[in-house]
Amino acid sequence: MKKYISLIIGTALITGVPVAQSHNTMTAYYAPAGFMQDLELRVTHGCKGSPVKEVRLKIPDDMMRVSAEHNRDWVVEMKMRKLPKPMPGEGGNMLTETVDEIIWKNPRSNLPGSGRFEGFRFRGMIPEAVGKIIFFRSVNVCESGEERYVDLPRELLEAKTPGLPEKLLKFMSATATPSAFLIIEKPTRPQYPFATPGPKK
Amino acid sequence: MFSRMTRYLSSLLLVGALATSSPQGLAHAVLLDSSPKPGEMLMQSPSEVVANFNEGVGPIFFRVLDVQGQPVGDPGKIRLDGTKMTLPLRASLPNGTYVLTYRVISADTHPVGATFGFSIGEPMKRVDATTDAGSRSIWSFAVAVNRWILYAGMLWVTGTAIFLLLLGIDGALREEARQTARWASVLTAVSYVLAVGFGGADMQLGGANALWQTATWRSGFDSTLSSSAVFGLVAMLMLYAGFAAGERRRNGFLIAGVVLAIGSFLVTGHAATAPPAWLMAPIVGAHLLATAFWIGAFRPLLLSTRLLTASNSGALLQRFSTLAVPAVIVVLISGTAISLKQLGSPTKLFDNDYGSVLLAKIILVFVIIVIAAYNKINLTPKLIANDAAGAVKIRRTITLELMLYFIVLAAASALTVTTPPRALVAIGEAGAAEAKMVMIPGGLVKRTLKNAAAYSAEIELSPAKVGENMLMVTLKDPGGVIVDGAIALEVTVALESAGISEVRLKAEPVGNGMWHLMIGETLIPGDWALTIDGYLTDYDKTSFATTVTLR
Repeated sequence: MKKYISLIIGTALITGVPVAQSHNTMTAYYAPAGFMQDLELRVTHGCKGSPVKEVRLKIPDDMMRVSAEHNRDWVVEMKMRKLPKPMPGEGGNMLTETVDEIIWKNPRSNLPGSGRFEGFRFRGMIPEAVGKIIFFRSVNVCESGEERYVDLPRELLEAKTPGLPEKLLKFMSATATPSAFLIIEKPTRPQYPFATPGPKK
Repeated sequence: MFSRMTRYLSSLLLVGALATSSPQGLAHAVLLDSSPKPGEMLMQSPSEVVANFNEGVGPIFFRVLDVQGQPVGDPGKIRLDGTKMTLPLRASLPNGTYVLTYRVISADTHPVGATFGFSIGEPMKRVDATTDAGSRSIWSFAVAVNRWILYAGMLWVTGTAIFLLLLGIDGALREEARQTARWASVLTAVSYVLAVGFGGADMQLGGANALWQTATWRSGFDSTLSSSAVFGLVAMLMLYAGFAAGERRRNGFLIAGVVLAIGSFLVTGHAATAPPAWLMAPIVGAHLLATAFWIGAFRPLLLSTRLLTASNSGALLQRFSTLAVPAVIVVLISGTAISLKQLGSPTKLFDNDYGSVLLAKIILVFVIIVIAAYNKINLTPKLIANDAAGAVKIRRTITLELMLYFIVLAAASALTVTTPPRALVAIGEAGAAEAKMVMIPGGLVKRTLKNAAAYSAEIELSPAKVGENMLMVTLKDPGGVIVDGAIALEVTVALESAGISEVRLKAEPVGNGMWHLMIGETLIPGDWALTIDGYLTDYDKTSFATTVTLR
């Protein structure tokens, strides 16, 4: 299944179907449930050729313990939101708020409107929800105009949804501005302690 | 019994149809004068553009566009000075053709807009101007019917009070008249409240469930309708108390009620607010008082022919008609004065909507006067002579008078939604000199779109023809409240049959949660698909889709 999706999306990319090419996407489409995982939002172009000067990313509600990678080219800013109830965090302290939005702005040089891509790295705890697909909504602010990749599929999509690859591909091509997505899969390998496991149940 | 019911019902239906089928060519706020004028060629770039209306307006937007529909001239803040709306232009405009476009809410709460062209330094390229009545919401009908009920109810209740005050009837006759009037005062009070709600729904271009939404009532309360309703409700309370109270306290309540009820009609409406108000308001007040006396008398007089002996009934009629003659004279004189003021000249009776409705009203009033005269001269003496057959006859003629009066009231309520020529004359003179100006009455597509998230979008596309179209969008949340804080609104237009796909356009906020967009792409006839994406936040989008057929 996993190979199948990569194959289809890869084929679409290579054959120039204007699908994944023209959106903000996750660099990897899969992540293991419950893992602290490094993630990357890939911005592939600007707004109708206009260079990107700011990228904003909305963190999904059920994703906790998010931090952004240090970046020497972009000023990184994080907006927090209050948690409905405190949660245990790293080292036993209680967290009352979590990252809501990551903003990369004021770059040393704007990302060209086309022909170059850039990855925006961050990490976070993948929710313990095997088979669920989570969506990362993002906004590119360009020198002129902005693009909001915030569309969500009309129906509920999960790993077990019949015909998922076609449906995801259709979702990515049906609108000009689909959200980036990430499929949560069952971990196949152990997670080691330095990877900071999630809170005890 | 049945045939009588059907007869009454069919008369009511006829009257209702008359009340609501009246022509509503133009809504209230009318552009009297503007600078530049439609089609005008200016020698140099203006430092400001001005629009002057026949009444105070609230701007929704006011702007100068180039022929591509882009706002130009680096406009400053809109200034309002009475009826005059001014938009300062900080940048100078190069020679060429421009479009001036505005949309305002008039004092009577109808949104009205127009677009016309002018040029600088060179002759104007043809730009089709549009005006839109802007008042054709599904609530216009409800507003008209309710206004008719309000007129009839208010005059009935007030009239009964005047009749009791002046003619002092007693016994069963008084009890029956008081009871009917109490019911009528409750109905009228409800109608006053509904006037605020229906008016608000009409202003907000509300959907079928607009009455359950707070935004509807809020805009109703913000208009002159609310002061009218406050006066009216207190008046109805006073009058109800007056009709229920005993002998001693009754008159005080009735007099206060009558004054307030008449007052509720003077704080709003064309006639009473026409300049000079110090003169027109008392004239309209006198017109209403005399009319109320006339209408209020019907029920007691009808009852008297049934409850009293013919000769006693005749005596009452005799007393009534000694007062009715001066009342009719007041109605005629004040009516003539108001008509002349609103028409400008008697010939205007024949060449516009307002005139035709007024003419119909005048003719009906004369028919009623003829019937009344027949009653007075022919039938009243028979009653005094205790002729029972006369009582039956006069009952018929009074019923006929009453029916005709309801039709007159229908015409009167229609007059309040038709623009008087006093405003039209001015606009006609301004427009006549501009022969090259093509005024094309605007078509209008008005729709309410709903999506799965229960958000709704009210859209207005005008003129909804092939060529440039103006789109106005108002977003409402699931509670029906206008979304004022949306950060962006994008519209995608596509015409599949012509292979035009996904032209994305950005609308501009014009305040009050409204978005405005000039669509220049709609140049080919066909079924255009419109997708509207409202961004509630950076990441939350609410989308709507619809198809508009353009010819």
